[in-house]
Amino acid sequence: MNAKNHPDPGVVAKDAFRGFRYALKRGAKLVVKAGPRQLSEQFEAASTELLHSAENLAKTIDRIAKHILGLEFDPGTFGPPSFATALDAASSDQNLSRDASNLFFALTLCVKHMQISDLLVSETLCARLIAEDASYDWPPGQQDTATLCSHLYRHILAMRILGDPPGVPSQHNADRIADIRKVAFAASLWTYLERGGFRDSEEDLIIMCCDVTEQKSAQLAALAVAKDGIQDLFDYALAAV
Amino acid sequence: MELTKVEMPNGSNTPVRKSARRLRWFKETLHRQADALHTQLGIQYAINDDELRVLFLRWLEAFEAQKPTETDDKADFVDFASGLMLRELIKSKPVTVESLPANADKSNPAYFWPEGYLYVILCLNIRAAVLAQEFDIEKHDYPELDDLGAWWSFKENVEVEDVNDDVNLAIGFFDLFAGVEPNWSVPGSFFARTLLRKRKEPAISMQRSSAIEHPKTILDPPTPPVKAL
Repeated sequence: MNAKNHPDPGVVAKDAFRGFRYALKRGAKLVVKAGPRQLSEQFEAASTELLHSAENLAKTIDRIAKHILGLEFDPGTFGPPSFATALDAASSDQNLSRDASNLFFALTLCVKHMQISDLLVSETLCARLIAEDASYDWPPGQQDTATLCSHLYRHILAMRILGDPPGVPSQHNADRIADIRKVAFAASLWTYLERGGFRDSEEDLIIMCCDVTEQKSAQLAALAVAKDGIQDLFDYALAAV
Repeated sequence: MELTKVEMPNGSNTPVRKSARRLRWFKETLHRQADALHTQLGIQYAINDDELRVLFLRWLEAFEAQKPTETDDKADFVDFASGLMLRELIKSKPVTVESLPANADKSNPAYFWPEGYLYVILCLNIRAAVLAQEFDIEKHDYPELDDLGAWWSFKENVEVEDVNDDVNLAIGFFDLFAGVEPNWSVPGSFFARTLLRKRKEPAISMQRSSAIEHPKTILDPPTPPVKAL
């Protein structure tokens, strides 16, 4: 599969559905909270009940579709992408799809743990990033872990894998950019973290990566994407988690 | 008193001085220390890992901020950094006691203040491992750990959340338990500690003086015979 030019239709469908779910949930929430106040008193109770029913219906559809499309997070299969753990990771369709899903969930869990709202992650772009990286020729001697983290971090930012949900006005102010950098940093750190010797789950590791990232968020914001500074920060974080 | 030993994780043969600066290692070691004390003394601890992460990162910041460059200061910094860790543990209180054995004797420091006891033993064990690996210093006996009066004073000075209490005193008490002369005046500053130490050298070198002045006088704490562990 050439994911760069022809992303897996299943992955694209997942992203499309995630956008739809987000809009549906957000819309229902806004209407339920604000809508009934616009109506006269006699219709208020009935309309509230109707809208709550609509919200419940949306949730039911959501559950079924999540199950069918495989959108559910599965802690049993969640782990670092194969390109980070295998010396010679074969870029099969199956690997690409699984890696894209793992990177997607890592970024999503970071967004959740850092309590950032209205920030969506694209699994399609995760797949594209992984396909591109598979053909990347590393200069000899430049594959230490901090360099790999730094490369992935810059790539996540450059490909705009994290962005505004559909229908939400752009909020790309300084805070928003800082949030995106933190999520990208924490997920890149988690991806290449040395495993073994400890009993922490992958979700525990994500939380630790987020906490170390938050601790260094001021330096991260100040560094922007300066190569050396970011690598130094990854060196610190890799030793701290 | 001998320390309740803990088997520290050592997956990649990293020196303890480096491993101790790793969150996963610290978390695992604390859990193992709690398990070891449970086995030996029957104390059932509950550990809040969220608090643990926060306090560890705070400790790491403090560690990095005060880390010395002079080789001569490094052994003393091991003591100081261990005391800093004790300070952060006491500040965050990540451990609670779920149960004690029915016959727990409160004149035994481990039952008198089980959380504080776990924190102190953990920090002493980490310190001992670093000193043995890096400086060939071995120490097996900690007489002050048996002193219930010292434990009373320790708990009274650092545990109560009073504006007048200074949790930095935990560093001084750690030195006391470790058998090192405490700096009670500015316990949270390694720079001040180093100045004091260098002023006294070579008369006193890392040895605890016989007369240690406690920071806050405790009115005659009862001193029942301390039961050996």
